[in-house]
Amino acid sequence: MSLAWQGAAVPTLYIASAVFFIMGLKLLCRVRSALRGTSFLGVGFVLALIGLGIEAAGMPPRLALVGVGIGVLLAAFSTLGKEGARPLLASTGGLAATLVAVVAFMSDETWPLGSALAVAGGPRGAALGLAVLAGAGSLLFGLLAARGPASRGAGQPAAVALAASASGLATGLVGFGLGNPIVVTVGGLVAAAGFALAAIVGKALGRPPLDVVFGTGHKRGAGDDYENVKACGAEETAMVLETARKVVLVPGYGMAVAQAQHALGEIAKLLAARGATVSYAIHPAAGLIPGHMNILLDEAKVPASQLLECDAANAELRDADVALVVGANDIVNPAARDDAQSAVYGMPLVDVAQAGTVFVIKRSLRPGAAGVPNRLFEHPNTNMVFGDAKKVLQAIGVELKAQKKAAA
Amino acid sequence: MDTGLILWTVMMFVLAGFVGHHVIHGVPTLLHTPLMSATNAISAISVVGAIVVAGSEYEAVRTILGVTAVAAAMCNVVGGFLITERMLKMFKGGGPGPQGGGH
Repeated sequence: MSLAWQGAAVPTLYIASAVFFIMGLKLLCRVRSALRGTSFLGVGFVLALIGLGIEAAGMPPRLALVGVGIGVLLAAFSTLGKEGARPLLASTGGLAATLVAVVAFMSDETWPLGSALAVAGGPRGAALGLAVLAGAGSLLFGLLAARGPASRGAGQPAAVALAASASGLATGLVGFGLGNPIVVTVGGLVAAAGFALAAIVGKALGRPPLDVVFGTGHKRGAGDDYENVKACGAEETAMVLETARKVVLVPGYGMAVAQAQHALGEIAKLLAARGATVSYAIHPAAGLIPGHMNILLDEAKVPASQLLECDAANAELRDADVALVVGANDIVNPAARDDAQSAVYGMPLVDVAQAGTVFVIKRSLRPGAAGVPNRLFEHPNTNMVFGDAKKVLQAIGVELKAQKKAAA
Repeated sequence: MDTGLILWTVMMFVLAGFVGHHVIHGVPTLLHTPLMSATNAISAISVVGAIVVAGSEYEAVRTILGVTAVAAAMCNVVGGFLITERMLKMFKGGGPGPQGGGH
């Protein structure tokens, strides 16, 4: 095979391809531009393939087309099929890299197949041997994602991300073995991005990625430990808020501490300007003293007509699209109604779980004044938005304004 | 394979790794799944390698392995892109309210 970079055309194509890959990943990291990001990745891929076509095509086109055809059919079949088949798809990249490494090995008369793992085979042989190992690792993570302990629940993206990372590593090593710059570049990109992503997912779940994937290090404590808590950011919250027609805001002590009433009032205004019905649920025990919320919201010039007492708020929540809880804990704890053993049992409850989606802005999962766990945080409709209430609300406000601009 | 090319390639891999790590930084939870799916899809760039190595002058074993590699890589990339697009469209069209901004 030729390692020569043919003229200027091929390097140019490869560089353009790498730029499209990087831009594509960057765009994919923002909700608004994500779809454009996939198009960029697609363009990058096609450019790389054209570069390859010019450089060297070892395989007869007819055979290559057979492979392409089979692959496309398999892809269509597996994406239309059951959900369970999809993580397996993640391992096909690793499988491909492994096979390429094996073939490349066999094609080198100077190094017999038996020296597969021998460093004596030189850097190229070592790279290909490691590629086989990394590819196998990718297959393992893919299988774990499909069938392992991570297959149910939030750990699956972490397992798939590790599968992608390993297949990126394998790809990079194969590219090294073949001396092909674009294969190396994409391999490096994917290996690092996949690993970073697995770390981010693990962090969101509060556990190291490998624990998440293998289902280890997972214990449920005496009741102050949470399971399946979903966390999200301001951007996501804003995206759901912007499509909501009815929003109930539930301020608590945390809003007072963060002095977030102005930021909250601002968001209410933005939502109302979009035509949404916005109201505030005022729990009698919210804040330090009765009326604490009323005082703060009045300071933020929130019209008193938007403030609802507990019962009225619960009626409103029944058909609300979004409940946004700002620094509250005990007042939205369903144990007040459901758990006779709980310290908060019998207290009035703002029953936010009735809303289509619940966002809880809170600094952590720490218990409130009552010192009891809150099962609302693991409710399937609940998303935790961790952070300082004021900062998070301001970030949501920025996103909402950006959306408005984009829509105009 | 000369030392110069080896070093160039290693440098490319390392730099690409840093770029990949930084690009992912700060991605919202909502996008974890589509992002990992897209990332995984493009790792199938090894289809390039597959086509390069599975040349015609080889015996059946290598040809079959090569074609399988091409098929696996194409399955990975096409399937990955299909799933990613579908997930992202779900965000656009879904949700309780009317279609949000953007257009």
